[in-house]
Amino acid sequence: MSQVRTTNTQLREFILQKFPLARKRGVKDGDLLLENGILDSMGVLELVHFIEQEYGILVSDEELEPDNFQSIDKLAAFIQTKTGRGEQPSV
Amino acid sequence: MSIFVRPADLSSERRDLLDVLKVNLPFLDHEKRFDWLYRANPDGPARSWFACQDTRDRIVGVVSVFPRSMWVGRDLKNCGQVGDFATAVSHRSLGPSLLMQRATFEPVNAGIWAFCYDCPPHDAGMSTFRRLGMEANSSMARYALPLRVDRLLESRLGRNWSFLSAVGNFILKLYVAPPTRIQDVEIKQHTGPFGEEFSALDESIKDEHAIRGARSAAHLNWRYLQDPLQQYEVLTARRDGELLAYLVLCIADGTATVVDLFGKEISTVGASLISAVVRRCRPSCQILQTFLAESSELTTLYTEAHFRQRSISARIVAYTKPDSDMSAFLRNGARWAFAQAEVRA
Repeated sequence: MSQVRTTNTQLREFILQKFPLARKRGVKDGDLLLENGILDSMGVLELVHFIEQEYGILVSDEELEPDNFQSIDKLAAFIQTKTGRGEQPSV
Repeated sequence: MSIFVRPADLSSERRDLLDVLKVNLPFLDHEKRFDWLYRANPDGPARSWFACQDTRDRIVGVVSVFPRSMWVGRDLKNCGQVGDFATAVSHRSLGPSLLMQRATFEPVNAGIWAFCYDCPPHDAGMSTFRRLGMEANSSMARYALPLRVDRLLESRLGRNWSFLSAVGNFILKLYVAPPTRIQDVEIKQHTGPFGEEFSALDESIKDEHAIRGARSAAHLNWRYLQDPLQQYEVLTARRDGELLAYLVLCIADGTATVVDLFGKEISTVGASLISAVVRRCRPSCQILQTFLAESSELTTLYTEAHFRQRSISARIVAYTKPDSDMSAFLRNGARWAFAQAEVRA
């Protein structure tokens, strides 16, 4: 059965897998990732690498602004703007 | 949201700068050290930049560069050490940090400094450099020699095991290298200001492949006598009154740190100074440690004195103007002869 995973789900899975604090506290789509200390600059670097690989986009230095990384919702919206799509089918 | 970087005015914006540091780097007494570190440095006042959001007065980060005279091979160059890099938690999305890091490169590109360097103590501090495609030029390692076991045993077993401490301390005393004394060299504690003989010693030691901080009397007086946060002890080694070498020690909370060991005939006189500092610290310190760049020629000296490498304590990342002589110097196998003296901001 094919399953459609939303960008939010993919991002949440990556964040839960990579960042211990996210696993410990859990993370919702609206949670503040930077202010809650779930992401730091190294985490952002890993996340950017993931986004670039997964969605085939390039994130410029100018786009590394706090607004885009504030929450899973904000990240998903940023990716959707860059790719022009809302959902990513997964195999 | 618009993030931009602008120079900070150390006089009129002192309070703003201190406020950002206090919130984001709370483990240091910034108030107490500001005038000393930012204004009284004999190599020149610091340059600082603010990262701002939308307006000039909404400050979300700060970075400073502290001028430092460095020996680059046989030449004395003006350089800068990056420090007090602080970004508000809500703005650690890398973009603001990248803008600030790039700002520190501007004086180098303008030819004011030959290079600037940063010593990030952990991986997170490397993130901006990785994004900029820069790798560490070298790394600093911590070397440690245990002197006493009292505190270790007390924390594990409680206070009723002092006989075990005595046994442990005795074993450690046997374990360390035998005292090294050189007949015609006198080791003494140095008190009072550093005189011109220290500048002369600094100028007499040149290595055409090495990069190290200059150690003029003016710098040493500022760094070690005027530091408002730390107190230092200095041991000198002299032959017939002539200064051969010296060692700078800082003791805090039972841990003694050799901040610097510098001079002539260092393989023998240095061993003698290390031996003296072990004797000095054994009665009261749990551990004696030092920090050395991976290519430091002092590594052998410390390992022969039974210091063991414990961990990487910092990376050294330098920025040079592309295609400059300095850039070529670094590419051609420069040796970072750094100790804690070059890393402490």
